[in-house]
Amino acid sequence: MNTITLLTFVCVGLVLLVGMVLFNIMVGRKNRVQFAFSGIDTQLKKRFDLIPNLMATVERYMQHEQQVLQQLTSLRSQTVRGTATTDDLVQMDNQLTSALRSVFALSENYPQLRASENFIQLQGALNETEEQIAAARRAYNAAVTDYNNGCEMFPLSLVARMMRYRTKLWFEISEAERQNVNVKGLWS
Amino acid sequence: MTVHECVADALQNGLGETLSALEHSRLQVLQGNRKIMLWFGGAAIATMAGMLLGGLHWGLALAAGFIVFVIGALIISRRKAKLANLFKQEAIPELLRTALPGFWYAGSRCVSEFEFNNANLFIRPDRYSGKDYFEGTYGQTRLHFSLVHAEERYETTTTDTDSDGHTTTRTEEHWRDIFKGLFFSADFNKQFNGCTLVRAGKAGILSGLFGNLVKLEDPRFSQQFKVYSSDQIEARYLLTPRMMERLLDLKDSLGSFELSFVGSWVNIAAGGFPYNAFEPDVTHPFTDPAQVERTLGWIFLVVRIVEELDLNTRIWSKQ
Repeated sequence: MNTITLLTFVCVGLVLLVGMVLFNIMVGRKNRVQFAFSGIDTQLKKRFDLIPNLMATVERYMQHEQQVLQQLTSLRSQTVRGTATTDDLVQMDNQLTSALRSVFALSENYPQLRASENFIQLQGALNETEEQIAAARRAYNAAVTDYNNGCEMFPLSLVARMMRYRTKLWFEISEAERQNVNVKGLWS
Repeated sequence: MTVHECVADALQNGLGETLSALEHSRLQVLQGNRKIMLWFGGAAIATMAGMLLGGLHWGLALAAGFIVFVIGALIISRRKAKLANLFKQEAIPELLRTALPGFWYAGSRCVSEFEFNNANLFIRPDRYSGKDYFEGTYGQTRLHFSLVHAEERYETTTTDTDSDGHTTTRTEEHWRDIFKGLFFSADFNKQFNGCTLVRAGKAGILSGLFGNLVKLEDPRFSQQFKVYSSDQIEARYLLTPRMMERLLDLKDSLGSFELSFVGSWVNIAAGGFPYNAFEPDVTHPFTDPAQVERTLGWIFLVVRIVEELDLNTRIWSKQ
């Protein structure tokens, strides 16, 4: 085997190796995005699962707030059916956030409810889930940023183009959620 | 309440008498030290003079005089350290009784080595010591802290060859600091399961090799700290944008520090914290309120980490 043939083999080998590394990096980033999205999904489900308990607690006290309670029940049953797409899920989450905020705001008119141990625990659990959802969204956005950088920056962009990977959208919060909510105020 | 107001309050509630008694002890110790200095100074001169008159080499006489002088200095230094400990044992609990009710202090104790290791911030030390342990509940947050000195042993080997070609190998033991400063632990207000580390310094290209690096959104925070975590979501759950701002503010007041979230507690290791922060100035009257104000100022700086990190807000499932 002469030197030129050997060099050709070495070069081809190197190109294949670099290609394989780049391919694995892009697949890893894509999987991280999916994993991060499943994190949001888990937290959203956790929040949906708290609704029956919340309903059972508040129904006894807030009988005059049927509209809000019905909205909560309807949102919950939509998710239980399991037919929602990702976009639907995001939209339902936004609606649920706003409905839950209404419940906690209205609860101020029911001192007995606010004093209930069960309600205090549920409010704590919902606050916690709310922050976990926010954290999961931030983790998702960080994964999407990494993935999008790969799609747009050389040399990973070559691999992304070959694999037909497209940039993904960040998980953005709704306009209503952008407004500052004083959780402490609702609590006290 | 400010430090000044707290000290004024404590002085009216028993601390004044304690400080007067301590000042009496201080004057006695200082008087004793002066006598020791005179005795040992005289003894050193007498030793040197005697040896010189006896015809011994002046270098030997000087060395003997120096040894006598050093012994005297050591005795004085020990007496001063004992006096400082007495001040801490008597004055600090009295100060805490009014300024931070429910807190207790143990001058010779420190945060346990197990807890220090469990924080995952440093390698396991070969020698571990500490002092000035405080424990109590501030608002709704349980906390404890102390000064800690953790060291690592290492050896150096030197090989000498003499004129005959014989080689001798010497191995010497040395100690270097792993950490020396304040170690603070508080019950965190959120429930978590994993381990998240906030390390000082900006993340470099190779930082990802040392653990699961978390890239956070705040560029100011990322300039000052790098974060590693066993769980990317949990790290963001703990380090909210507001918490990142709080940690930056804490860095301004406390100096450089590293932090870990482990076992539902937050641990802070501040290496820039002075190791003599709680020591009184024995050359200055103990009855001067500035002495206790200085001590209480340091205690407040540490305890108020709870406020700076907003740990008393308990609106989540953990109460």
